[in-house]
Amino acid sequence: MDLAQSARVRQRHHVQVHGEGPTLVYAHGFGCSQGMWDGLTPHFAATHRQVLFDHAGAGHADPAAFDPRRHGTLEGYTDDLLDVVRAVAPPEGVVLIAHSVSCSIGMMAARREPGLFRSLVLIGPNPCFVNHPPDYAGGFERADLAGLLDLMDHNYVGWASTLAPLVAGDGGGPGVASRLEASFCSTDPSAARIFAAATFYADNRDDVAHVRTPTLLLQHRHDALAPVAVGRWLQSHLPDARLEVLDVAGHCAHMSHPALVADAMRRHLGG
Amino acid sequence: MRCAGISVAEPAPATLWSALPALLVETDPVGRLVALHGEWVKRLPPDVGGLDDIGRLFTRPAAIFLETHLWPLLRREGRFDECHIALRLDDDSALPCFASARWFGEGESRRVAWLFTPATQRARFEAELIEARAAAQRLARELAEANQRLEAQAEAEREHSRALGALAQTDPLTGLGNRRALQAAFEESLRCRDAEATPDRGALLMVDADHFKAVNDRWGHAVGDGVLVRLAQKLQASIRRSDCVVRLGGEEFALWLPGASEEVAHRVADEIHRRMADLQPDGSDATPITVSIGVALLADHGDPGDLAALLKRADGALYTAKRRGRNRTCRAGDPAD
Repeated sequence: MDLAQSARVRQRHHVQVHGEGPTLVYAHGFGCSQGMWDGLTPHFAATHRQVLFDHAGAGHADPAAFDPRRHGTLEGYTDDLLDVVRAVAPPEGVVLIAHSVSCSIGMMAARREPGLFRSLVLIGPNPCFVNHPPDYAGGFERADLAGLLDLMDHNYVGWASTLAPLVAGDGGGPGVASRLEASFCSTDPSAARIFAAATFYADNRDDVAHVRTPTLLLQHRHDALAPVAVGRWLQSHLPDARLEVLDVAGHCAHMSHPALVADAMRRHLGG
Repeated sequence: MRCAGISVAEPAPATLWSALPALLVETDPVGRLVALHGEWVKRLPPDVGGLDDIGRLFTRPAAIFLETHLWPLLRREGRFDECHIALRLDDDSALPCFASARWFGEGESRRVAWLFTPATQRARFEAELIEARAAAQRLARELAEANQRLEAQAEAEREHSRALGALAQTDPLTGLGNRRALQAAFEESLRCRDAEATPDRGALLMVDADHFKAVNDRWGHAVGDGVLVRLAQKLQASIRRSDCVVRLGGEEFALWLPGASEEVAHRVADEIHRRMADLQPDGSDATPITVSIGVALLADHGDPGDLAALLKRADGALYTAKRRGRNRTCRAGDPAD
């Protein structure tokens, strides 16, 4: 990738690079932006080169970068992640820290370009949210996911770009519209909806066995989105993975318990 | 009762807290239930108790929304307001609610206050709004598509009429333009000319094959037509890229040289005479055909927009060339006239 291409990728995904040392690339999950890593990155500020980016349609990514067709499946996000990694790639490869759906994206990327990744840290991974009895319990029925899209419609009807200016103009003062937008960390509600469908209807179980990159699985003890059983399934299907169950509830340990996650990462990174 | 502070299904004297027409929840910083208040407490599922995760109060779709949106929002912004979610009730039905939450307290006693306000009517109303909006979007999309189809059709029509127009401006024998094409080229060059650089410059050449009737008489019309086709090709080869050559009729052709000075006009005319050297009638070793040329300059002309007058003057010059013995070029307004 030449300099101009790299600059374009950095601009497109609002890529931020801080510090020096081995490179950590952070991939945020659905519903948020690179801001979700703010609690974790200070733990590695002195020891690592840290790369943050926003997925297309999220945070400060270039709104024009979102293409409903390309980003209608996780393949599009995988292409994007590979672009970002190539744009910042040190020759020795990167360690990918991924959350939630980005774990699936990261596994697909590592399967396709194993040379780019030294190891993976997957926080709350779930390669397939939908249950496939009797062998696989992702945690959800398709009806639940339809319900989620419905709920998103309800929550976004107020913030859609056509209505946001009205809200701001209605005595709300400046900043209201932008706060509403920022509140869901998403530049574009329709993009978020497409990302939601791509995320929750994805089935990446077949990719798992082909990921040879050393992987640390961090699962939450009580996680509605990624049950511990999914972590066990992943550990038994990934060629080179270690599972650590964090004794916490929720789906975002890097936000609720950043020190716990940092400790686990340090043990995995060997320092 | 499974935990201090939780009063699920516990008969108690009515207070403001138990009468509250909402659900007010206190959790610790990681979302474990500490206290529940309000009239909806008695409708919560019986399997939820103290220190359970607040997510267990939510329907499963709402629990995803809680994890992917509300917790990140709450942690980053310290609060969220008026989000639509749905709670799970004891009969497994869903209760649509507005939810708001914020942090309170410090250090060890840091807590989250969650308020759930039932919004069944609002949810139904908004569902209709969303449906109406989706319908409007569908309609707008259909309209845009219909518009696109119409646009495509109109473009096809224009393309068709352009093709017809081209046909109407083409001489079928030589493939050159005709009088209409000359008019179009003339007007086009007047529109586009750079008035500063070449004020009223341009030349009209009228070219006529000498003794052409004799060719037809001797070799027949087929050979005569062949000569006209080759003559047309030679004319085309003699002009500049910006110039236009048309067949006016019979053995008569016209060349419009926009921006040309007298010198350029004569250079083109000389080139034409030179190229006629091998224009014998088909398959014969007869004397080559020659042409006479009449030149009219735009600069010599009263009204620069009057093509008919220019043609008339070129025609006059052509007549002079014929009269002076053919195979030559004369200029309209030449003092030697």
